[in-house]
Amino acid sequence: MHDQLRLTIDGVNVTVPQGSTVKDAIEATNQSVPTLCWHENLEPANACRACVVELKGSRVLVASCSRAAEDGMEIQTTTERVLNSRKLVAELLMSTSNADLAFDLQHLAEITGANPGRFSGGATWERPLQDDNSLYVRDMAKCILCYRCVQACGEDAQNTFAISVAGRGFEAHIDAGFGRELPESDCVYCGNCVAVCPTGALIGKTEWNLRQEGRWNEEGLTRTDTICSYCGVGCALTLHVLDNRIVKVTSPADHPVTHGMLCVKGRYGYEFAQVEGE
Amino acid sequence: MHTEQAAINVRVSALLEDLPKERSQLLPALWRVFEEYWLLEPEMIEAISNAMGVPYAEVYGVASFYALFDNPEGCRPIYVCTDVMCALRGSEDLLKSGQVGAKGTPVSIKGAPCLGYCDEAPALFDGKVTKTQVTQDALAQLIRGEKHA
Amino acid sequence: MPEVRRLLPESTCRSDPASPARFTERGWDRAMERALSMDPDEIIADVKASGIKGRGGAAFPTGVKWESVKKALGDMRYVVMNADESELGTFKDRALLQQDPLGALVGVLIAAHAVDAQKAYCYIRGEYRQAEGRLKDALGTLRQLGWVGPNGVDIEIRRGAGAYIAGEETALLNSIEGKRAEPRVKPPFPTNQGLWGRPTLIQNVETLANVAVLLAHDVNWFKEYGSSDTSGTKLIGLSGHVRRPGVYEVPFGYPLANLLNDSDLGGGVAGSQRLGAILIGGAAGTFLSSDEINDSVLDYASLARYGANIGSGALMVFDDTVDLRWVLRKLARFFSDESCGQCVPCRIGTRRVLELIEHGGLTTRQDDLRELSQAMRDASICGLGQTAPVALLSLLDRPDLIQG
Repeated sequence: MHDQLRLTIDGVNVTVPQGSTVKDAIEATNQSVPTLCWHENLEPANACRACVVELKGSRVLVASCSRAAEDGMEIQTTTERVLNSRKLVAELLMSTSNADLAFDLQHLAEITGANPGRFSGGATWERPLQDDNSLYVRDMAKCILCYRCVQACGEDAQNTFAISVAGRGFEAHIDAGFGRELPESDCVYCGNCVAVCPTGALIGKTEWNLRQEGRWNEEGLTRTDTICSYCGVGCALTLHVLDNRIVKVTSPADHPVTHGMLCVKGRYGYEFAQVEGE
Repeated sequence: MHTEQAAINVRVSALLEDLPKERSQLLPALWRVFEEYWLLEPEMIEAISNAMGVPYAEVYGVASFYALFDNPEGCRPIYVCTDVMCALRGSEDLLKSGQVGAKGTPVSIKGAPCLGYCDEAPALFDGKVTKTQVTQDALAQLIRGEKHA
Repeated sequence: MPEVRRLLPESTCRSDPASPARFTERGWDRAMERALSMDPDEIIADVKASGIKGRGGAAFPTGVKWESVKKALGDMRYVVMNADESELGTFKDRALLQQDPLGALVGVLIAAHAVDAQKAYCYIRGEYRQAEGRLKDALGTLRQLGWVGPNGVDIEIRRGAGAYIAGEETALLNSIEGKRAEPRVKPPFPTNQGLWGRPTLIQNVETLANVAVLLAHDVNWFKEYGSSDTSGTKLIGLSGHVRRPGVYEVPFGYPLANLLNDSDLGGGVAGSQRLGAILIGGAAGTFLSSDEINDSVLDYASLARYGANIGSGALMVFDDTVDLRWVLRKLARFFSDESCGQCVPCRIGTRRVLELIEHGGLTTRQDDLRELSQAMRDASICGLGQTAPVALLSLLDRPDLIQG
């Protein structure tokens, strides 16, 4: 058993500790790995395949986000097969889903030279907006089925299991069961699904309203870190403030207590702070 | 609605009484309930969720994965294989004639992927048994038989 | 040469297929006694020496797999019989289970003894009710004879519910565990981390039946049939335009043309009586022209010269009037319907392939189809997405097979 693993990434030697992934090893050479479904605090879903790389001896490409690094691995990250797969992933997702707020997907399309319209014209994920509660909106036409929300709702964070992937194949989708509305589901409105969503398919109601009105201004946001005062756990909060109003609350993904996850009070209980005059 | 749910809960928990209440028994549980009602509606998913201790959304996520549980009309399903080998032997016409003949009956005729009887095509699966070298007459008889059943 | 009868019972076998009489008649008592008298490592050595390769499609050396499971660390081990036969054009496991269900189950018991498993599952597709009934009866017989039960290996039958993907080995494990039948990423392989993270041996029905006949005899007997590359016999499902469609058992190395034409096998091309092409291996198979068929024998290396594979043993025969573009549309529809939806290349790729084919893309969008196919082969999680474009590519590479 080695404590350290030695790999070559595009011909460059790199040493990483036991337990690292191939992605970790690639990043140790100062390269970045494109990802869509991967999230630092969730189990890899292996679903998007944007992070695939060529591993010597492997017939197919491997997902670097989840593949454990092994001593002696030889990895190629810029071969024609890798670039073709990454480009196709971007093109396929662009052909089904509204990528307006999917910044990682837009980035993938950009770096791979994808032609977003290449496979368009067929079936899409267009579906009606679900606006059934006062805290967040579900615009599943933007969904890329990364599984992050299901994991955050389930065993990786909240343990509520209010949503699951349902259906199969092209019809697979996120569902609380028979498409039912959230108030009828097991949802506890912790908003952790919203926090991990990479495409804006799940979005806070305040942000969504402001975007609808054309008043959302990313550059104008200020962010202030504080500690949640609702209970004694000590969750770190980042208050996103626009025009002197709190418009969103998140928690730093690297915070040792929260790992980016909050409860309904921490995430959505901010309105009282800005009730004026009473 | 409320009493209906209560009645279904009672019936479902009786159906599942002897099954170990483990996640790995979810598929057998879905089969038992499906074959009792020939459909899986929200009330049944709720009852299975309660009986097996599996969250509702997950029960639905699993049930909706499998094609044989997709029968929202609740009619007794007859699956006509429309894949390559059966289609070579006229199964697409068989399917159409069956769908016309089944209108207004408690039977629904659906297309199905390869049923694994390519050597005796065309084949159908009536939810319990597979029949082979099926003719339009034989299918019509099957539909009529179901009507009287 | 007449077809062989090893895995399938002799036609003179008249006993009820699931009965104790059949158990003796087929020599399974001998196989069980021999296996239990042997050290597990001796059994594994015999399985390795026999050269049995997995019959589900991947042709992985069976003995090597058993050794991996045996050596893997775990407080519990499982054996799973994969009877979720749903590959297009494939029906040999169904025939085997209906004609001789005890053989495969004896294979399960021998495997469990060899890898030290305490529990086994037989996962059978939901539409195979007659075969499931046979399997239940056979299991009852084994219980009655004392080979299965609380003191030995426990066997549970699980019924699928209409999902081709559940036949993928890791998807099958998820299905047994009560989850969505989505494939898992490999590694870890099931041999190390299968059911509930424990070492698990998954084998196709026909593979297990091979083990049963091997143990009922010996390695030398087993190797009397077959080629220098692959010993033993293979069940082939012949369908489409042949005079005598059905399941046939033939030795590896048997000429494909004879398989089609021998009077006691396919009996010749039916329909127009002129061979157009065959699709070998299932939905993810390869179209072969009649010249390629005449030049090939039933063996992995011979078929690999044409990019083809025995796969599940499906041999779909088309006369020269069949428009293979129509066949391709059917295959594309199949994969699009059966994709689990988990990974992008397969979930969206199978749908786009179908749409492109339906809209004339076979002629107008060949480059896009090839690039898409390459990404599906390279980047899909499991064998479904990886092999879904194989038949398409085989036809693009054989423009002569496409009419008009």
